[in-house]
Formats: sequence, structure tokens, C-alpha cells
Amino acid sequence: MLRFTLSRLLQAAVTLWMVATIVFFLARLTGDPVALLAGENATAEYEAEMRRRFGLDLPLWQQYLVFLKQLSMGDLGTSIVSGEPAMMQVLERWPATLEIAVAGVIITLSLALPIGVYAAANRGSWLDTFARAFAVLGQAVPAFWVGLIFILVFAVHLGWLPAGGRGTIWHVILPAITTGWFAVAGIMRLTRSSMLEVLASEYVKLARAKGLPARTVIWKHAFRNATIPVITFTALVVLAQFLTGSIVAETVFSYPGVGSLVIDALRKRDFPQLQAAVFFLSMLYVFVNLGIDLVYGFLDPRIRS
Amino acid sequence: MRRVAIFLSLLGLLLPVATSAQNAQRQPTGTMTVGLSALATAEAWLPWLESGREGWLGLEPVYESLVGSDPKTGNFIPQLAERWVMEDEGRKWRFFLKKGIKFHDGTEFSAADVVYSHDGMVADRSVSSSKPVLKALVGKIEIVSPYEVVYHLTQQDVTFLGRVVQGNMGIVSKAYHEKVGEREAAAKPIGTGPYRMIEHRRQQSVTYEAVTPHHNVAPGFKTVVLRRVADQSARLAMLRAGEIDITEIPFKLKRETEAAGLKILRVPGAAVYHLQLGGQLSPKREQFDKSVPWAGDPDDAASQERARKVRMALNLAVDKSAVIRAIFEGEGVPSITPYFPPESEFIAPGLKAVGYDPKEAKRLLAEAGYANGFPREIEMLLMPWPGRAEMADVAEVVAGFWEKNLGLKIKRRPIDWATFAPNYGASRKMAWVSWAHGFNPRAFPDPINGMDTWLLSTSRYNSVGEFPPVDALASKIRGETDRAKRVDLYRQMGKILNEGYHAVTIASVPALYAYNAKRIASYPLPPGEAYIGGYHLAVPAQ
Repeated sequence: MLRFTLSRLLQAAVTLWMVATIVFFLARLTGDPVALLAGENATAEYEAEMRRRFGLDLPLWQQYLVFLKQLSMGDLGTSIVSGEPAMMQVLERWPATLEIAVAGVIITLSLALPIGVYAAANRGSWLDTFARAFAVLGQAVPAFWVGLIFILVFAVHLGWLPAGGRGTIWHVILPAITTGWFAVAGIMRLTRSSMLEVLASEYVKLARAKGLPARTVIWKHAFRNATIPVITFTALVVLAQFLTGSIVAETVFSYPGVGSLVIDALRKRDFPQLQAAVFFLSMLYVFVNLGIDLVYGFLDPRIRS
Repeated sequence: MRRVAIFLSLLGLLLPVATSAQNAQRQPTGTMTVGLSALATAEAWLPWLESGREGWLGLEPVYESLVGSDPKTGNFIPQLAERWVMEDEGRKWRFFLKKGIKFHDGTEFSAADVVYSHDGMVADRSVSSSKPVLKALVGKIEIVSPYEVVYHLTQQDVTFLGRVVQGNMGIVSKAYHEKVGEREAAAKPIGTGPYRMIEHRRQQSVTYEAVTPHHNVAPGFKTVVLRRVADQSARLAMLRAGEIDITEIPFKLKRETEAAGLKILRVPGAAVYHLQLGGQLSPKREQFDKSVPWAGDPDDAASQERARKVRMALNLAVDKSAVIRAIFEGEGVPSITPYFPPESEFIAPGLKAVGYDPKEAKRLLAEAGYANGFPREIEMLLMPWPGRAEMADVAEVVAGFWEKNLGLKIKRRPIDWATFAPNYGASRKMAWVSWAHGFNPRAFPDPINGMDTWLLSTSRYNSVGEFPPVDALASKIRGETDRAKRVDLYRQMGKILNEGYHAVTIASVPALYAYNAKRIASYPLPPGEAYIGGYHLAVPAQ
């Protein structure tokens, strides 16, 4: 188990190094932060001075070495725009992203699981047809459009929920549903197909033959077994998606989380800030996967070998 | 010279009377929430930690400068200086400061604050876009007394007041900074402006409360909230939901705004669009290429005339009215020069916008030796400016006109400003759309300060071309103290650009702001103002 753990840790470290490197070089392809920051009145000398100040005058390979050296010490640099430590700003924003993630997972599971189960239990019914249509629609419609439609319906026309910003629990609902929209469809579809498979199994037939109530058969016997792939999917994909995939929802709903920080940093070409935010989100993703790998390894000796 | 000084001094004495009367007339009431795409650049609330006009918008309510400009007339008006005198033909500027003005924390404003604020603007840590100019122009600031300072300039500059107005040179409290440190002062700013900042929620909102009575202006709203909403469609939706009261809208959302029953405030002449014909460089430049069809060989008169015909053809081949209809939703008018809005006094009487005549365009191009188009492909940059996505659309439409009417081969190249800017001075055998603030007497009392950036051969981002006659006129403007004569020089400049067809002039367009008429009765933003600011000007609805 120790060897397995070390091997997975090494893989995680290599993945993070690769992510950091790719982000470092891709960010520098997007343009010059000094051109945006120095303003229109800037002279060439002034721009050169700013480049020196931010270390952008060095050859790219030297900038990369400086970056790696800082990274090895846990320092992701200072934001070019705000002048503050880049990781500090990420951590300041993280609670907002976490709010959406937690609310999103709760809303997603509480919608997707019951609908998926009922669709499978009542195959061919109107609810099943609706669930399948919703699953296709949910995975086909882009999140930013969904977000705007939610704003129009729930904030503008009905006036039930705020259109944006952060503050109360009501502010979390629409961004959370928007982020979870894709996941609801995916989990519902998976739950339905998994339930259909389980409902057709011999032990479920036996439970029914014994005269157990339908509710007991579905929820106690079938659902428990059907949730195994659903939980895996949720852990692997949905959790990571919620932690990292809030960029669209945070932008549409002006929610000040890490996702909107990424967009801001990209817009202003704030390289250190962009690197810190993307590195942080990648780290979360890698750690979630690492955790699941380790749990699987612990539970199933075949995986360790 | 003396007459100008006396006039400016008298103006400085008279205007406080008007503003004091205004103060007595109204008490601030209610809350106005403004939806903005960004609160500021860094959200560090010191004049030298923010850059550009967008950065200044969050600082403007808190800080005042020595001098301001009247939103109606464009005249210079006192802010923290009660009067001023230009000396030594513009090499020295003497400011007499108001007495008894308190910062928001109760400390009194004096000359030491002026010097401290200037030092901040030119310090190494400063990211202010005014820093390069101030550093080069201001030799030293002499404190004559606690209420009198003299700016000693390194060169003659009769337009220095314009720089003060446009330079975002807010005055901070030296005593407060020394007491709490710069970091704290940037988080909790103290100024003498009409609003004090009472709350800042990073990347979310800033809330200001009116200072009453204020020595200079009478704010209409008691509370102003600037709220960051990055997405423009979301901003409009929030306006409809009543969560914000006013927001800038892009032209493409105009119909949707009207359909929703919202009011639109138009600020005319906020932006002037033109298409730059790159490569009109000084022949002294290494990158100059006389084979660029619209540049020509400056040593060959015939080549110059052919190049002029090419430029005229490129102008005549574009239906500006169609561009205005298609891209700007019918808002705006064809422009006459690349900089001044048509209604500006800087446009010489009789000067007209170039019309649409594709046949004549084709004929001129043939006369210039390009009957079958240019021998090589033109590169058209589709380059939007932050907040001005329509720039790429205009470039696309112009490319379409040139292909259709002149048979030119055009390669579209989508590019971002941040990617293009570092190579701005490099070879420019291409075309792209630029925009300029609508230089007019109200928004820019002295446009020459903007032209330093965009029009002269020394400009970092010259967006028309490098022309000795324009440089010469700019030098004359810098030294001309008589305003009427300065206006005439601007007109001569406009004439050179118009008659030389040096850019493809497109349109002068307004800024559009959608607002909630139940909350805001009026908002007299000055014509030419491209950003929503001057929050004290907004008048609440009853």
C-alpha cells in the first residue's frame, strides 16, 4: 500500500508540474500585461521600467526558472495588478467558490437521484420521457445561456431570487443550479440506466416475488446497489467539476470566486495571478483524484497490484 | 499673457459662488446603484495605484484635484485651488489653495498634501498612466505657503490645467497616510471629494456616502453603490430586476433595452471611430515602406498623389451610414476627422464627412494604378478594445466594402490588443479600427494632451500617421496662450487629416446608458464623456 501511495503521489506531483508549466507558457502567449497596465500615455522607457519591475524583461526561460524556484518554495508570485501575493487572493476567493460547489452538489444530487430512480421505476411513463428529454437538453445547453435564462425567469420576471452578487443564501441558488445543470443531467441519466440494470436483476425479482412493497424494493434493495457507479461518477467528475468549473456561473452571476478571478487575471494578463488560480484549481482536481485512487486502492487489493 | 492670467483668476473667483448656491439648493437623498464591468483596475484606492480612466472611476467620488472642468461649459473650475496663475509663459503655474477644506477624517488640507500626492504619482511603485508625463514635465513643486504652491515645469506648457483635469491627480491626505500607512490608506481612502467610501467588498461593490455640505458640489444621491457585474447581459437583466439603477450598454443591446421599457441616456460624441491605414510612418523610420499603396514615397510628388487617391478611394468605398445602422444601431453620425466629433468647435466650418461613392472609388484606385486591386493581400486586424467589441465588427464590415467595391484581397486576422500592442511600432502594412474619446471642449478642454498619445510622430500609439505638419501644429498649440487661436490651430490640424484622407473616418457615436427612470430623474453627463462617472451629477427621481 505504501508503494502504491508513493507512486500515486509522484504521479500527482508530475501532473501539477506539467500543469504549472503549460499555464506558464500559455499565459505568455496571450499578450503583454504592461501594454494594458501602463496606459495610453506610457513612453517606451516607462513600459521598459514596468517590465523590469515585474521581471518580464528576462528571457522566457529565465522567467520560467524563477517561477519554478518560487513554486518549489510555495510562492506563486505577486499579482502584477494588485501588488498582493497571488495565492492570498486565491484563498480569499476560495470560500465563495466552495459555497457554490457545496450548494451545487446538494442541489444536483437532490434533483438527479429521485428523478433518475423514478424514471427507471416507471419506465416509459411521462416522467421517464421528461427525464430523458431533460438529460439530453441538460447536456446540450451551454451553462452561460442557462444562467442568463435563470436570471430572466427567477430574478427579472418572478423576482424570487437575486440576479447576481454574493451575500445571502439566496445568492447561491442560481449559480449553484447553473453550475450543476450539466451534472444533474449526467447523474440522472446514469442513475436511471443503473437502476434499470439493477431492477432487472434476479435478486430484485426475488424481492418482488416475496411480496415486498415496491418502495422497499426500489429504495432499499435496488437503489443501494445502483448508487455505486453514481457515487463514483459524482466523486470523480461532479465534485471536480464543481470545484473547478464555476468560471461561467461566477462570471454570469458576478460571484466573486476563484473562477471569476481566473477570468479577471486573463483579461488583465496578470500572469502570476492566473498561474496561482489555475494551479490551485488543478491542485484540487488532482487531490480529489488522488484521494479516490487511494481509497480504491485501500478497498480493492487488485488495484494496488 | 497677463489678460489670460487675469481671466483665469477671475473665473476661479466667480465659480465657487455658483457652486455654493447649488449646495444650498438640494440635499442628497436615496441610493443609486451603478452596474460596472469592473470596479477599478486594482481596487487599491489611491490615485497612483490605479491606472487609466477606468481606474479613476472608483476614486473620483473620494478625491478632488486642484482644478476640475465644468460639465456644461468645459471651462476650468476650482476644486482644491481657488485660483491659479500661469507665469513665465507656461513654465510656472501658481495655485492658490482653498483654506479650511477638511479631508473626510477631519484633518485640514494644505500645500503639503499637494506635494505628497504628486510624489506618490511619480514614485517607483506608481502605476498611474499620468506618471510618465508628470515625471517628465514637473521639475519641482515649491511650497510658498501652506496655501500656495508653484509647479515648476521643465518646459513651456500652456495646457497644463488640462493635464491636471485629465490626469486623475487626486489629492490625498499626507497626515492620514503617515498615520495609517499606505496599505491601510489604499483600503480605506480619505479625500476631500463629494463622497466618502464607507464599504468595499472586493470584486463586488463599493459604497459611498455623500459628504454634506460639500465645499464644491451638491451630490444628488445620498448613497452611491458601484456594483461589479462582469457580463453585459447580466447587467441589463439586473437593471430590469431593479438590482442596479444605471449601466452602460453596448449598441447590440439597445433594442432589447428599449423593448424592456427601460430608458436610455445618450452621451453624444463619446467615441469617434476610424480605420487606421497603417504604415504612414516617417520615412526616417527603419520600418517605413514606400511600397505601401496608401503611404507612397515622400520624395516623389506623383507617388504621394497616387497614395492620396488610394486613401480617398478607400474612404469613398465605405458606406458609413450603413456601418452606423448595422453596427451602432443607428446611433451616431459620420465623422469628419479621426478625432473630433462633427459638432466640435475644433472642426473647421465647411469641412464635410467623406460620402459613399463606390464608382468614384473604383475610378480613383484605377487612376492610382491599382485597377485590379493591390498586388498583395491587405491584412485587416479584427481587434476589439476592452469594452468595445464593435471595433472588430466595424473592421469586418469595412473589409466587406473594400472587397465588394474595390476588389481588394483581404485577410482577416483576429487579434487582441494586449498581443498587438508590444509590436505597435513595428512595420504596419495593415489596417485596423481605432477609436478615440470624442475630443471636444467639454470632455477634453485641451485635446492636445490626448494627441500626445495618439497623433504625433512621438506618440507611443500613433493611430493615424506621422506627419511633420501635424507635429508643427501641435508644437504651436503647446505654446499658444490665446484659446481662440488654439482652436484655429486644431481646425488646421483637422483639415490636414480630412483633406489628406489619412484615415478612413467612420462615425462619431454616443455612449449609451440604460437607467431606471423611477430612481434617476436625470444624469447630465458631459458630452464626449466615454465612461460613466461624475456620480454627484445624477439627480434622484422623487
